[in-house]
Amino acid sequence: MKRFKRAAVVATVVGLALTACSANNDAGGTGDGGVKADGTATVKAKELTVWTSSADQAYVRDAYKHFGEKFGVKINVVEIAADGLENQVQTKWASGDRPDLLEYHATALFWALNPAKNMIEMSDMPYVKRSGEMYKTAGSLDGKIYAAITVGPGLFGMYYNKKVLADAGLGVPETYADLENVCTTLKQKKPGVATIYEAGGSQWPTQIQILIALASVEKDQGYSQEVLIKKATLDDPGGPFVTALTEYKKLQTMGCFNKDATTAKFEPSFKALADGSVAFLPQSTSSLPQLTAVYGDDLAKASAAIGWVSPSTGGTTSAWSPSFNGTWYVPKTGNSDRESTALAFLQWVTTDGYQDYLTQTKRFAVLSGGQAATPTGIQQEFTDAYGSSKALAVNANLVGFSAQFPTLMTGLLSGQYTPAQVGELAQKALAQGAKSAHLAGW
Amino acid sequence: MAVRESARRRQAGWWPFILPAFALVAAFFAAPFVLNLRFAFTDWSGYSDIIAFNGLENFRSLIEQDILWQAVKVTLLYAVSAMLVQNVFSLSMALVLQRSTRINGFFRSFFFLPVLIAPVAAGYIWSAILAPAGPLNKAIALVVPGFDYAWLGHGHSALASLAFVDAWKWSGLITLVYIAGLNNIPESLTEAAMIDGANAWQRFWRVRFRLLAPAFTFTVVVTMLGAINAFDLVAATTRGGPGTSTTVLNIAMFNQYGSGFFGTASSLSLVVTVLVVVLGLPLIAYLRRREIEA
Repeated sequence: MKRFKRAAVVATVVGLALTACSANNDAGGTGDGGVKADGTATVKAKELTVWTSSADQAYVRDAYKHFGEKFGVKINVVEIAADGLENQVQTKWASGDRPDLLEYHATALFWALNPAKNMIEMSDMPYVKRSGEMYKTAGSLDGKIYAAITVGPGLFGMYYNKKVLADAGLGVPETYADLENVCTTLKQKKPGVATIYEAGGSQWPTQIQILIALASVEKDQGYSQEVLIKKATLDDPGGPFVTALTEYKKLQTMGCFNKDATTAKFEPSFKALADGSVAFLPQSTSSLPQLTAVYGDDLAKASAAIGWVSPSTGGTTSAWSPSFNGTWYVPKTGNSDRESTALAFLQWVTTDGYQDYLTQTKRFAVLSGGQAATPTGIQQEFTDAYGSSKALAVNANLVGFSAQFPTLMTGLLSGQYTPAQVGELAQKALAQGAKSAHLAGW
Repeated sequence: MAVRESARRRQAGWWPFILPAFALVAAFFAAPFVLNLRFAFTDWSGYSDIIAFNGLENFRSLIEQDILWQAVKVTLLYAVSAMLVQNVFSLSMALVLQRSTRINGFFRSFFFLPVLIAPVAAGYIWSAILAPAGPLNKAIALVVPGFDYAWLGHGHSALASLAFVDAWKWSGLITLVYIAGLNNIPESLTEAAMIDGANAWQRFWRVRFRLLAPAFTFTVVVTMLGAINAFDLVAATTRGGPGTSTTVLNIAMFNQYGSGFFGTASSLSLVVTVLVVVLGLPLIAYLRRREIEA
């Protein structure tokens, strides 16, 4: 019996020891290696681990490669599937896993990683001074900068097939409501063509039309800020959000979306646009390589066939969002050599390596001191759109909202929710996020 | 005295055998559950390193956002559908494949193949098969021209499709359990029923089905409680959509956790456990009683 008691005690102790990690909410290398993030860090480690997206652009991978070759650092790239990336990063992060460099969003999504505790503050890094006003709306929290945003922002808008519109005698729409007329005409003159490609099966693309529709309201009245300070609410039946959702649902009801809108994935959408089976494809400019791939990576050919438009509620306005590609954070790992090397990478990619990197990105420069490649074709249209009328995407800093938004949109698409219900649930999701982030007034 | 000593030894002799199982359950289920229980009532999130007790606030927030009851409803509907489809199909298959012939052996192995496929792979395969332009609709279109229904694009058909895929995935295993159960029924009983004038249906319903009770207990409990814990198949097929029409509790929990809301994720995890206990224990008790009656 004594032996039994002893065995039971041992089993309990081993069991508790094994499970202790599951209750350790404070897990992870959250120690600060004491490295100064002021541009003086040097390469000290021979290896770096980077968490990056499986949908990363080639220029990001090249930056790792070139840095590794130049400084003799082995870069271990941990690819995280682009679909559901945020969930996976959050899950790994919460379990205490940390990379040396994290490529991630510069929007409110990164607040959920508790940057004040887990990331090295980079307000004093030299690239910050070359970034203009960027960090006022992105990559920062409570006045402290944690991100290194090295690539020009992406715009949300719609690619359109020029030939389809020309054949139907249509011009480009200027407002979101104009799409109704375009749709009516296309249905008459090109019955086999879907006006807008919606990818409900991939979920995240369903947000784009609403972001485009709300861009002018964001520009004119700073709508998202009004929502954050409770001057406006997302569930206001006559408010911009519910109005945009109602217009979206109307377009769907009119039969303006592809037949398989609720289940279609975004991957085949570029081919559908190119072959003229759809007229408009809501997307981000970041997806240009996927579009040009359909044209054999021939930008000129793609530009001849495809145009870019941002039909917002109040006229042509682009919604911009800081780029995911080339936005990095340095988590506190407690390993000063690795932290120093991660900071040295950021220092290098924004100084000595910047010009080559910038040329490769084929995007506008976000840091002064670099000469972006002269835009051509559709890239010129992106540049013009960004230069003429733009606003930060409405969802960028609506903390908590983005987590539920794609789900609510597919619910709207499938008929589970009405626009008013989406508005109500979106407001509640925002409240959950704002309370968790301890925003004032929530 | 010697007899009593021997009985005592026999009684004491069981515990070394149960100890490994007990330790594993204690280490990997009971202790984590107890240690994590408190988080269901806290505001633990990725946004802050301060964790404070917040009572029932998480449950209130989940109800307000139409997450909790919707996920419970979807989970129960999914579990009951999956359990019914699996058991009806598997029992039918078991009756057909009961005899140990070479052809039956081939089909038993054939129907067991989906059990060996990873649930995630099964999910991807079926989401392609069920796509509007997928092979299923193309086959139906041979009879109904232009048929392009989005099976996974509408709430009810998406949930029914998932229950069917779950049944497809696990029926091979459940069929084997039923075959073992059927083979354990003495033939003399069915022969006696036949002599008494019972027809084929009566012999099945009045004799074999009653005596299948132990197998029935196992299969119903495993399929039902397994479906309540569904995650991977749903994640790979619909990710809980469209909207929340296939968002089972574990998907809702994953979404909350992945958004940094660890407290509400813990609350949903608690609901899953409570649901399993509340449904599982009475179900097992009822089915065991049925075994004894049989």
